[in-house]
Amino acid sequence: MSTISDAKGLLEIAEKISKWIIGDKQDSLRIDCMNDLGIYTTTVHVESKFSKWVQKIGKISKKFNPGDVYSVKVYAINPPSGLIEGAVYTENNEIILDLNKVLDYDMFGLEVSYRMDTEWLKSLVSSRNSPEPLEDALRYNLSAQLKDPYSLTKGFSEFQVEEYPVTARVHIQENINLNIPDYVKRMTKLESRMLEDYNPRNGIKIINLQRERAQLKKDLGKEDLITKLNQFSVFLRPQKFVNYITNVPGSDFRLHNCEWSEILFRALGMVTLPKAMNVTSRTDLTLKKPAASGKMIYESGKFSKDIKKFFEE
Amino acid sequence: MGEYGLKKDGIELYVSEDIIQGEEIPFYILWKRNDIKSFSFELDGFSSVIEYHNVKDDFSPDSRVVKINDLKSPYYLGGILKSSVFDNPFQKAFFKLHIVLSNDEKIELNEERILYNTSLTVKAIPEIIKIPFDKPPIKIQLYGSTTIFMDMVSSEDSELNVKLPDEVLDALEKLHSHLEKGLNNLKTEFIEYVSFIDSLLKLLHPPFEQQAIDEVLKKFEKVKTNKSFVEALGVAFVNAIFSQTSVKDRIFIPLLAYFASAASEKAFLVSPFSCIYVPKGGGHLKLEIISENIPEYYDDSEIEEKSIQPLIIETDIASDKGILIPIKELIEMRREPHEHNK
Repeated sequence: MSTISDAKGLLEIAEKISKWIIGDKQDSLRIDCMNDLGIYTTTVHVESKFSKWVQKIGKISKKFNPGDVYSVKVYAINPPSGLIEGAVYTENNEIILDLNKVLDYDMFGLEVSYRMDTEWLKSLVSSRNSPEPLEDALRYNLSAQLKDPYSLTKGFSEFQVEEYPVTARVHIQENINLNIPDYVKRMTKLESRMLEDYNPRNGIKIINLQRERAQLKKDLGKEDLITKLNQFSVFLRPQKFVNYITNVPGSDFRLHNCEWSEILFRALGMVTLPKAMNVTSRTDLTLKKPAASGKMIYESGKFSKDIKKFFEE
Repeated sequence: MGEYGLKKDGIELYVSEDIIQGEEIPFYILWKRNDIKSFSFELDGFSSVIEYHNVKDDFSPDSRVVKINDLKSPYYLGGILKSSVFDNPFQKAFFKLHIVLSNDEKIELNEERILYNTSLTVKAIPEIIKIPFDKPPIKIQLYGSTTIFMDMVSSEDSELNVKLPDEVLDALEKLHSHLEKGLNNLKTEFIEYVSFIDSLLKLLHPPFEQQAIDEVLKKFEKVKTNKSFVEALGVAFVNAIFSQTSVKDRIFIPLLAYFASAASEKAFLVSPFSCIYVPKGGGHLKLEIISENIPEYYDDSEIEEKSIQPLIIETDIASDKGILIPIKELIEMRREPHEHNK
């Protein structure tokens, strides 16, 4: 499985296919950052010049090595009817393109996708998010800009970097620490001390600790501490947390997803509480719009309130 | 044109916000008019433009003037600004863009930003601290809005040293030795990744440098494509965690560390359990408080120099018995309210 690691590589391959196809067509190049793909697309008018060329080259128009390409797709544009059956198939571990199948249409599209090196994709764009909200307590600023748009567009009428990700690190440990009820913290300390002092000669101390624990248990309700904390870590799941984030209207960015951010070697325990959430927003960049900016709101107050509510239930 | 840049006469200037002192931040200029001759920049609080985007390969960035012919494609110029570090944690900074048109008329766009930081000062420190005490005798004041992470290190010439409580050390040591064993076993199975595993093993023995972490992260980018290796690596970690027999080490200590790490508003302790060991009779303490702003925890941190100066505190501690004092009980951290602090 090969990946392309620079603009030159992708442009060369795309140009090669483009030069090979004879006829009236329009090429475009897209970088899909969601899937790390470089996609060459051409829209071709099926007129006499193209038809003659296809008939001349025969049934197998072109072969692709599955190790080199991610996918090859041929679809009808006019009349629109989706993927054209039989135009792309696999035989003897090769992807075969048969352009004879498109001759019944007025216009079709060919799309060849290549895997791109993630590091290279990152190097195309200079992006930033607020390290933390400072101007406004809740607002994160996001921006992304192409470093060298011209070199990416050479020879192609259309070029687009799609779904470029910008990830903001939303620090939530303070929300958690301030809103976890005191009895949970006291109980944690107590449980730890009870294990520490577990020794038959420490009888009276243990009895006292147990008495204190019985008191705290009343606050905790039915569940034990670990169960409650495990439920809490479910409450903190990224899919739920994403509800506390909104992109401000007018923003060039779309909210994509959210995941726990843990610092290496800190996840010593079984009950993991995240220190921060990594919230990813995405944007599209083109030669016409080489830079994007946006704002993201983190509803910290609502999140804190819901943490409190969780422990009250 | 975007929604958030500064707009004037068909020109948009965007300069990032929420800037921490020392950070490198992007800016861009977009326009639609065809009569622009050149751009130049006037900076205050930012030290320089360290990178330009969409300029020709032979463009010389020294002049701070970008002529329209220096651009590869029209209507866009971008770049990276370097911000400086100041004593003032709310330093004002300016980015002035001067545009000259083909008829020699001038257009000016000015953006103002605050460069944020947090400074630490000692507010109270007794010459001699007698054990026992009720309230934390050392008081440190934080001034500024950035979230910081603090680590305490005893200086080489300090008689008293920072130490972790035995129970925490035990838990860490157990985890380390199991992890070390697990990782070493991986070396025989995945000979091609020995260099990565060795860098990872280095991290188990503090003190480690940021450079060592960067090295591991860089190498990990290369090895992470091998699924079976990543799985084996994960298993090594999980095994190390679960082979610790004590529930206390596995669950309660990390939880307590999580709860104890907040030292003040937007200030966290890197090692919340750190203690000062005071032997019978006491001794002289020289403690260095090293603080970092939050973005320095990023994998791809853009900050080169330390934004926050280390704070050194010195005092004598007297005790008639050997004792371990948690740093949290010895030092109180308070963030001074400020109109910028939210």
